[in-house]
Amino acid sequence: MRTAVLLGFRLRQEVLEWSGAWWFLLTLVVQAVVAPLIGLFVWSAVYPDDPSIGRYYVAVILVTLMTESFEQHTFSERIYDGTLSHELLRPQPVVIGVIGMNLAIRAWLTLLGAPIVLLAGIALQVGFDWSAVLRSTPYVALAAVLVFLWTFLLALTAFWTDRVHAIVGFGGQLTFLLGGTAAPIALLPDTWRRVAEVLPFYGMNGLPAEIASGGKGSLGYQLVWVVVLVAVVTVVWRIGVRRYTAVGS
Amino acid sequence: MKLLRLVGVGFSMALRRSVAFRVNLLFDVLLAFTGLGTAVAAVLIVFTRADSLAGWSKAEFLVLIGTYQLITGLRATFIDPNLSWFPETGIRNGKLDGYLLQPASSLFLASLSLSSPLALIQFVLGLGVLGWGIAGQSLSVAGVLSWLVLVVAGLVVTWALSVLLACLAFWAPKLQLDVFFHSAWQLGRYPTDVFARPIRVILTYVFPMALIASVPSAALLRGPRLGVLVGGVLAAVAAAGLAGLAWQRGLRRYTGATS
Amino acid sequence: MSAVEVENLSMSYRAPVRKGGLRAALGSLVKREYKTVQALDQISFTIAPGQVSGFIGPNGAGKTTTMKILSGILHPTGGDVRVLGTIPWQRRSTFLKRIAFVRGSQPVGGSQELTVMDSLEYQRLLYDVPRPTFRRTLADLEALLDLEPLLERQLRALSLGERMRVGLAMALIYRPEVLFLDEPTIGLDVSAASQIREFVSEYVEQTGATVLLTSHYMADVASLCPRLILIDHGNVQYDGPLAELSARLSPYKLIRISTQGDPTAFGEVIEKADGQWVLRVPRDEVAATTGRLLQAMEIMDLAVEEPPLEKVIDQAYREGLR
Repeated sequence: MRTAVLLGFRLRQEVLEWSGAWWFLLTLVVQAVVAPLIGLFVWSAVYPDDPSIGRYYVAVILVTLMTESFEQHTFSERIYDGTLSHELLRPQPVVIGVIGMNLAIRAWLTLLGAPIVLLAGIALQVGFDWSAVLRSTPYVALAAVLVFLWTFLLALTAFWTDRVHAIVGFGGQLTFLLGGTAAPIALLPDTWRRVAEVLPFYGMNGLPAEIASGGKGSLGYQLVWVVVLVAVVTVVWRIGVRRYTAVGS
Repeated sequence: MKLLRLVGVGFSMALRRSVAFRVNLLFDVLLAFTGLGTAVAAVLIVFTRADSLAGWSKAEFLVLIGTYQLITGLRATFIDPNLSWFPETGIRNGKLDGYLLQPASSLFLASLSLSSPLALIQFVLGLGVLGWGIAGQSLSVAGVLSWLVLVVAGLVVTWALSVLLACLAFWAPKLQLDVFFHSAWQLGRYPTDVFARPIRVILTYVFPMALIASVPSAALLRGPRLGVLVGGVLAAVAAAGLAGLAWQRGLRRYTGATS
Repeated sequence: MSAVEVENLSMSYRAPVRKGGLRAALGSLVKREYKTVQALDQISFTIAPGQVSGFIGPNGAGKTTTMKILSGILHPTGGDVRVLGTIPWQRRSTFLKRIAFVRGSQPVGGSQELTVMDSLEYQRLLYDVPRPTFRRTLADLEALLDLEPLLERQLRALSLGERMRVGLAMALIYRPEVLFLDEPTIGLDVSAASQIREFVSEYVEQTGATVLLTSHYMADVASLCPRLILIDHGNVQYDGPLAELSARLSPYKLIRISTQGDPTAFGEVIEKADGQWVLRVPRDEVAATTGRLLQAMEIMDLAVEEPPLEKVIDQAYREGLR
């Protein structure tokens, strides 16, 4: 309960803080949109008569906006400049601050980006079945959790290396290829499709988008990965903090 | 001449430094590989479903990706270390003041004096993909020459765009468009024919990402077209001129010469 | 000819006025309000070649602005400036090679990955220093600044004191004739600061360079600068030797004595402990009071002192000069 209050407070604070940087947030929206936008154009060129491509990619763009995570910038930099020490001294879990900022940025990106995307969708005459969109809500929520956990996990490597941006970049490439942005995973060659269906990346992007555009999928697959990633993040966090406090900086 | 020597010396010093850090070297090499691998894979997936995309075959696409990677590598080596995040790194922390005190062109110092040699790995890998794409194609000498000219023009335009972006900081120091620039840059990896008409027009004439890869690759594969060649060179000259002018104006404002 | 000539130099700039609150923030996107800040108001002074002058004043007095104008980074809004006979903000190469501007807050620019030696080499190319001259100067600097152990280190790995030494080396490797030092000892510990001071005075002795130095540490100014220029609110408040400034600011001197007796009658007691007394006496009565003290009491030790400079300057900053 106290955690929830703290989180709410932090979230409010962060949302206000970021309101001054709306120009910058807008460039982040563009960044989020570019990769799926390219996917949209490429696959529309391959299947010009298939309306599901457009629907799927508009959904991917929205999911991407709602699940963007930048822990390599917000969190890892605190390890590098040593300000993480202040956070560790405060009587609240460090991760609350991280999550607060994460949610604030997502809220702004969605607020700024979603109207533009929806307008574009309407202009392109992409029709959505609104009951499917509603059904996708839990999937989107779990996707948001998954993306956060994954990015945060990679950001934690900052305890050991100063190349965290390279590592997160690599993680981003995996998500792009196997998560359904480069291509809807149904269009991947067979072996790769089977690999992609098992890995967590599909649950971060492609799955909720497919549900929203009328497909089917399993919440259980996402939940399993949430549990796995929470466990891994917890372990890595403990080892990392021990190292950080032992080395000092 | 002196400027070239400065770049050379800076480059070789930075190279010696960065090779000393083996782990970082390894990371950069790996990331260059996976980055390019991702780009190529995304295209290869498309070609498991189709024989051509917007009129470009698989081999042609590889030529395009190679060219794009080549220019991106050069940009990351020679331009980005100087101009990326300019409002922060260039102005707020006083680097520009330092450049103004040095006896060489401030535009040169601010835009080209630093380099990060490891990024050249991307350039080399780009050449590799280019070679892979070219293998088995018949090329004309004129095509190769005009490719070369257009790549140089593309580089000049790249430099000019980065300078123009940095110059924005003189008028609107809070505007931070680096992320936007990097995102738009991604569009250069695909032939402009893929995109819808309005985007295509923007990429050709307003924010000429087409010049980075599409135009030179088309010249290499389909033979030179005089109009394109002249247009490319003119675009480079105009962009460089504009960048120089904007820098001069921006500097006048920065040093308080106008107010 | 003077090394630095400044006549009626003025600098004003427009600063956006920001009010608090979200509405004001949104409003400022549409229409900004500005106010004009007069950073420098018609200041004049000249510095002769080879002279070392201290430039003092409270924070925000316009010291750094003046330095930036003199070194060519800023363009003033009014007045005439000649440094080595040229207008600095034209930033001619020949001019820039003859001056240096070193800031204690950011002593070394350039790529932080490079080693000190690499950075010095780069300076050699940039400033067209002939190799033999470079070698000779480097040898001098190595000795003066104790550079040897730093040469192969990376810039980013240097401590604050080391950075300042390297910053000076990078500036002096091309033997500038005019040196602008903006708070060269800021943040340094006592011994590092005194090392920098010794170095500057030796450099001046060897090369006859002209130096303008700002500092908040009176030790810097007192040991290096025969002349002080005090600016405040964009105006020159005082220009002359240090001793005269403290005389003007403080019409008193301090007499420090050790005695078993009680000297209360001879002046205002401002300190006493274990038979140690400090008396405050008007300047023109010092000789007479000292005489009377020595006659009247058994004095074991006596010294006449200027009041601490820090206090004097603090008073000048707060109350201005009368």
